[in-house]
Amino acid sequence: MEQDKLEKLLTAYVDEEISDPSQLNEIKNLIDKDQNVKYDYEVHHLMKLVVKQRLKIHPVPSKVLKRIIRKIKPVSKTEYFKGFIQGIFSAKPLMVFGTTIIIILAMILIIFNRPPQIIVEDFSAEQKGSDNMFVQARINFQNILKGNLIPQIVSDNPEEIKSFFLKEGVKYQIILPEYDKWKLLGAIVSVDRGEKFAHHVYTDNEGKLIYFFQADENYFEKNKILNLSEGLLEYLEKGNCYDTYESGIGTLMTKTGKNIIAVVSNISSYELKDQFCKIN
Amino acid sequence: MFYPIILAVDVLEEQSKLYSSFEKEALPHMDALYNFALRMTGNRDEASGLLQETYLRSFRFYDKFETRTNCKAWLFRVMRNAYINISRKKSKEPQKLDFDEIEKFYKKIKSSTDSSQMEKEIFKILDDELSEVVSSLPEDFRIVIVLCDIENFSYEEIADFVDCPVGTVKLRLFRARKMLFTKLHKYSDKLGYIKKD
Repeated sequence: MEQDKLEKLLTAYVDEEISDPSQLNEIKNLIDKDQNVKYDYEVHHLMKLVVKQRLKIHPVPSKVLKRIIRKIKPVSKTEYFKGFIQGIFSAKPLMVFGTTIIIILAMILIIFNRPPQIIVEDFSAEQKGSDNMFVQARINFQNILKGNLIPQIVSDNPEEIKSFFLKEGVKYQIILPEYDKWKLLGAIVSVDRGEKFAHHVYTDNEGKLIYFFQADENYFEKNKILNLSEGLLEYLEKGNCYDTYESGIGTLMTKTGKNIIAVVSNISSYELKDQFCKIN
Repeated sequence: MFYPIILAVDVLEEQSKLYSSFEKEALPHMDALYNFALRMTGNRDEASGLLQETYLRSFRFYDKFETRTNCKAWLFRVMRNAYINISRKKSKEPQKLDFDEIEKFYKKIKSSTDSSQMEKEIFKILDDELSEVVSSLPEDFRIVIVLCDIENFSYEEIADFVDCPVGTVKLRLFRARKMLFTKLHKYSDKLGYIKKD
């Protein structure tokens, strides 16, 4: 028998890997009859036995086992969410710090950039006394409506009205806005402690009236002849417009340039506010 | 915001199912793989690293592993590939082997020692000393001995692992055992376990 074939057969016999009965008989006979083959078989069988029985088997160190399991075992849902929350607040301190700063900055920006809070106070209750412009304007409008107060000049010409005010001794710049819908009806100059004040009236096709009473801001401060509550003056000074509507009559207070203007009308509150808050 | 969390929960459930199967099929072979890694690397730390790499890789590809096939053999193949990668990085030179010298020495022993005496002498060797001798075998021979005699792999499985025909496995086993025998004999002689006439 060839050496290679013998070696293969002998090895397969030692490892019990021969399934062919004829091959099995062949090698058994050889082992029985040939001392050399018998010796080889005994050596190989011994080596298999020695390795199988004597070679030490080491268990996986528990540290290694735990490490591997930790690396491959998926986290439970609870652990995942716990880790997610902890991760936000503790796992990456630099990121947490950065995020906190961004949140604080965002809050500061929101606080400082929010639109100015419009607190519409009811200033009408504060307007009292005969020298109060708000009170006077309302009374004057009632008198105009009743026919008790008649325009001293009837004209729809702004220049003519301006000339009238100047001629009558009004010392401040008069604002006479022009509107498509409303036309000038006329004007009145009132006298209070020697000072002259301008009043003018518009009307529309429906007979609605819009009454203007305007005075320089000086008459509320140094040369104090007129009066408005401090709150309302401050409110107007900030560029706000105050309006109130009562029994079909609307009263609007605004400031344009140096003039404080009271507008009283029987037009709708929407129109009053929409058209007369900003007077140019 | 909530959509990724729902996705994460689905992934977690899938991973959890996969792990349960992996735990049942793959984890029982960990000792065998660790010992094989020890025989291959000869170093506990490297063996631990190789074992970890094997399990991480095998879990990563476990969904592609067809169940009911031989999980142990598959894990050993994963370890072999991981070991090849590590070996390439280390660029170890293959051990040189003078088989003629082994053959000569074997014949010399054969003519001077009977098998029963030889068995007694070799069994005097301590377990750790035996491990040392097995570890000193060239890698190709060490692999077939460990897989066949310790892990009880069939010739087909060994052939698949070492990627060569079954006939080559048989010849390699034959030579490996002969080599082991001569080495053990030399070792026993060196330690004075062998009686000299």
